[in-house]
Amino acid sequence: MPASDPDPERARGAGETGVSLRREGSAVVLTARGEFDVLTTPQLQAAVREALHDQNPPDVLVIDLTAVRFFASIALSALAEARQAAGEHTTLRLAVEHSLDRTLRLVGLDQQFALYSSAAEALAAEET
Amino acid sequence: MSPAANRVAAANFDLRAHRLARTHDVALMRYALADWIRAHGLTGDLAHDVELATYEALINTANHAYPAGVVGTVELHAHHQHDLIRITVTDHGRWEPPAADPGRLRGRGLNLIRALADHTILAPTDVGTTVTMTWYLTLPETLGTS
Repeated sequence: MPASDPDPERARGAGETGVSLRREGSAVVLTARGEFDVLTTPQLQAAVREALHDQNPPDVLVIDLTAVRFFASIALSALAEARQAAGEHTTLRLAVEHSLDRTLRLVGLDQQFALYSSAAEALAAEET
Repeated sequence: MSPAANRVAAANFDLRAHRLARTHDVALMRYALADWIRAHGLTGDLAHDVELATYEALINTANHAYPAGVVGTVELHAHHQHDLIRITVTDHGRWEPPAADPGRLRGRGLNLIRALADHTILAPTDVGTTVTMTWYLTLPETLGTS
């Protein structure tokens, strides 16, 4: 039977993976950094819930993924869930770098989201 | 051996890993693959696609190959020759039929594998399932051994 190391987070320095939320006027910016696999995507899901289930849901939720270096299918599913949860009340915008932009296009999810190249650009975008 | 010689020697080796089909174990297999990818000098979209597609195949095994309560094993084999990269992920279970899986993870994972790899074969047998993913290289990517 192969050996098993119980702590892959430590092996990888998962301190680099994390999520944070900040208010920007009537918008909320969710910044995600690092690697989102089956172990870490629950952090992203929890932050989305926190952002949207506020007593005053934001007009705009920007999910800044420009500092993400690994994004598994479970994390793509989390984005699709965020879109559903945002509903009509909150406009969801994503800031993505090259790899994630390409992945979203490869699986045909790019049409489901408003994509920008930075959080600042997403915040400045006109209401559509 | 010097670090450079170590790197060249490492680039000659296939990666073979065999672990329990659990989420923590397959995360470690992904890290080992990422190291292997770097040792082979692979970068950019290709490096990204190989790591992501392989993880999706591994996590599918952890999630779907074995019945609830049974912890089976999964094998990873990564091979690099001058004109291709071939990754195989093998389990010894039987993937649950889609009807038993109410989530969308499995379908999205398989779609992602097929979109990322140049060629994908999903081969279920009576004794397990093997996913074979191939990328065809247009330029030499290794350091060479000469």
